[in-house]
Amino acid sequence: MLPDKPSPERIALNRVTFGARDVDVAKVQSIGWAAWVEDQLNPPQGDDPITAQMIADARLRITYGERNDSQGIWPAVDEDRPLLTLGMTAEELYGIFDDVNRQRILPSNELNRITEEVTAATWIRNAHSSYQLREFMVDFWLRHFNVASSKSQYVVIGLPLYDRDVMRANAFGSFQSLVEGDARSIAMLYYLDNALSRSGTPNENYARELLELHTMGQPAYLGVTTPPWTGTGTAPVGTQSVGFSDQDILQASRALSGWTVAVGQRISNTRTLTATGKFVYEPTYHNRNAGMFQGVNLAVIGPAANAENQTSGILQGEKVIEIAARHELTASFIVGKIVKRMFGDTPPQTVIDAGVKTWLDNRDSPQQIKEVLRTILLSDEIMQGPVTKVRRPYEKVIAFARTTHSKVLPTRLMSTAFITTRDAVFLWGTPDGWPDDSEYWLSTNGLLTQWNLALTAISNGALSVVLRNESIQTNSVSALLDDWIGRMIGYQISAAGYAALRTMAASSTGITAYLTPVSATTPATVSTQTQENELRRLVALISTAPEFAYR
Amino acid sequence: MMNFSRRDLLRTASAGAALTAISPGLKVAFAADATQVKDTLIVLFLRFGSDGLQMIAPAGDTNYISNRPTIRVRTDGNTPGLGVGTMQNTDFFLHPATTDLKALFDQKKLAIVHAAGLRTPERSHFEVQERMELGANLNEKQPSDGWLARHVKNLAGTRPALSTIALSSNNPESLLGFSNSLAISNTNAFAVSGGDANANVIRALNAGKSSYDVNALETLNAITTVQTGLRNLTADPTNYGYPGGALTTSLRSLASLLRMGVGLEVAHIDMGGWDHHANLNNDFNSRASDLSRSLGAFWREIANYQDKVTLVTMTEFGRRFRENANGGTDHGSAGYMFVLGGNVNGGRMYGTWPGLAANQLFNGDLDVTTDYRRVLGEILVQRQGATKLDQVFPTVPYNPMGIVNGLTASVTTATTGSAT
Repeated sequence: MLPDKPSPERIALNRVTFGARDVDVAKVQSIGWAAWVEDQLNPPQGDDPITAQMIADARLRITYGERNDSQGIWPAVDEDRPLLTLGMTAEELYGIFDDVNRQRILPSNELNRITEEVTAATWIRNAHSSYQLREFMVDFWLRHFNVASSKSQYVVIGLPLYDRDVMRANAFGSFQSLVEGDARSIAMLYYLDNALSRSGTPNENYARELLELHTMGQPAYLGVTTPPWTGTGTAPVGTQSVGFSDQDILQASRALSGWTVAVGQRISNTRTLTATGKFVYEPTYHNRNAGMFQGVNLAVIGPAANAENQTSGILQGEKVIEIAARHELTASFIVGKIVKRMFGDTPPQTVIDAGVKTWLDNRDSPQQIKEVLRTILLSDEIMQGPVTKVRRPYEKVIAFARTTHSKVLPTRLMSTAFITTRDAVFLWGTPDGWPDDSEYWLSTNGLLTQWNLALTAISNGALSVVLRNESIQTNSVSALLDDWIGRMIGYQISAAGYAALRTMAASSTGITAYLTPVSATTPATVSTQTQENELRRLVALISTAPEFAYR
Repeated sequence: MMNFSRRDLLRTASAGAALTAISPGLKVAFAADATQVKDTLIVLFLRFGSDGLQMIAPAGDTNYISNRPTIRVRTDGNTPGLGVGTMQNTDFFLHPATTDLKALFDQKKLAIVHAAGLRTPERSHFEVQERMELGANLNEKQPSDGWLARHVKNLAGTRPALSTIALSSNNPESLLGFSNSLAISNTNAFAVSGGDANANVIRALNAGKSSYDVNALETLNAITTVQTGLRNLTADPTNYGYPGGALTTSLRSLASLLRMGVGLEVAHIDMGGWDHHANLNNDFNSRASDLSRSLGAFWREIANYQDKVTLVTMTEFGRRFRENANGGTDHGSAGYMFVLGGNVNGGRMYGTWPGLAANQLFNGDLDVTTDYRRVLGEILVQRQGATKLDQVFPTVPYNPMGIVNGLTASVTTATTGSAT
């Protein structure tokens, strides 16, 4: 008999992982929550051995025809290829895209493949990594610092580095380092146009989103100018200011101009930026007129405007990032967002307050984010209901894979499915990233897409599992059903829903055949494939229950 | 019978209303049937700041020429702008990629409202989009629901189940607070895999009271209606010149819903990709072309329904007047609106041109001279029979510009308001 509500351990696990499995709940019950948290907060640098092997074994097919004309020169390719771009350097990635004498040496399939490989590795890690908290946070950061592969090929060549060297490397680290890494990443430099910013009229796109989306947040935006200070004493400045205005954005855009990527730009008759595909600070692109940002005078940081040598102009941009990343409003914005992601749309303020305090106390720590996570995860509230967060379509598929013991097989079918909801990394076009309000994901279209994804994912080959081997051996419909509901949901579903599933299973010839062991005297009349298909249908239908939709 | 004759009267009267609509402020107090929704209203939101100075360019203006040296629309050369007339002594030209829009303008089906938007100092996509969708400016009381939601809730009586549809993967913020709006991104793909056998189990699983259950049930009912409707439609193999892509899918789905007569009253479509901080010439061109060709094709596809449709576009803001060093434009102020429909007084430009001299700009950019809510209010009253406009836009008085024909109903409206 299943319990009538989720266990405290299951509630906590579902909040900070891609889906609690029975083995996860059992582990927490055995070693204790605090020990589980500590283990999760101290993962090895790379993947655990099983996940590493799955990524090493992964093959994605690539097929294109040969070409030998003015458009390009390449041989035909048709192979199952490993995920080779994941470990590449900036130079190697740039080489995939670079033109030689305006003649392409590789077709666009090779470029698109970079996105496919990073996405495939992300799916595998999210579903199978033992270090689920890290996966949860990498997913959070990738969506917080959203970039879309559709923006340009320069964003695409930056994706392996973005995932590996920015998000994974800093997921539990210092927020300031994370923002600094992000500002220097090829993907973000091109996604928000900062790589193209030039001294004359600097591009404001990155500066604006740095403040509005990445650090201080939309609630801190004051409009065109900062309103006159009406409090007592002088107006607070720097990391304690009341917010940011368009004037701050303008100054930040000047300070951050010159941050670009070396792709062979001709600077003068005698100087060219050697095409390495790497971040570079180019002084001639730097606007020298940056002034007051958040009440701090940028003009006195770095070189004087009339100095010939402008190489230290990069210090102005670094100062902007430092103030923004360390700002008090940034602490409440980011911690609030993390706690909402974990707990639901009306997160407990006590947990946010404790997390903000830890965040601010640890601004100099290289483990700042880890300390904040420890505070949140060890709060009393983490194991307490209610369970109100709606799983997004992507989370739901990964939870479905985890709880059914399916292996994620990255195929185009899976990408196609996610494109419908746009709910997978690098698929959201705009810099705000995915809405985190439950209601948003409950649209008619969103629900239908999720159901159909579950109903087809196993047969389409996006998930690999033999459910005849995974299901318990029994001759009771109820026992079969209770076992699957127990694994996937962990407690009783509605009586009406249970009755409908029971009727479906009892009237299914495939499931009846599965439940009735074949003996020597009564040979099987229903094929094992039919049995398998009907078991797939059963678990997919369980995943459409509201009890599986909330975590 | 009573009801029928009243409607008949309204229909007869509406011909005369075309003439009176040109005199703003004249209120003909017919007792309009509040449930009489005349048209399907289609709101097309051009997300992320569509550049009105490129879409409808004052191409010969000396300030325009000097502030947009590399990206400007030209009056001469291989691809000149498409002239649409003069406003306050300034000549305007549609972007050269919008030949379908120009044709609709010439057929007097398309009206242009220039320098329209929300007059706010803010230049955040997300803030201004939200304000426009909730329908309140910075200094005004912030509503908890969207303007379209308030409008639909104010239409008396029970609306058909499929009266309000977002042709997107999700509902927009303007429909926030109206729980019966549906999101259908593609009618052809709107079906449960495995059919009724699976749909019925899902229905039983979701018979509870949570918002997930409620939405699930609504989804299943909508799927049944749409699939039944599609089965009864004659297949239409014509392409009509659609360019393909997301907007094409939305508009073709919308055309199917119109043809199957599900009682569609309000439709919402998003078109993204207007945030041209760099390479505007190339990227704006492809967006403008997609918009123009898609609307041209949609107009041809709904040939039998043109008199029952009013489409209006909006965008959160235009772009910075001066181009940046990347041949792009950063976030600016006023945008524009297109109004397309069988009852639109098209072939004209509406609004007031604020000018582009330094002292005419608003924080350095094109000033907003027509509040977007004024345009929407006129359409809601004239084409959708809204009578309580004060509840939709509490701060913007009803002040029709004569963009659409209709019947000026008795309407309660905000009496004060700073909006232009």
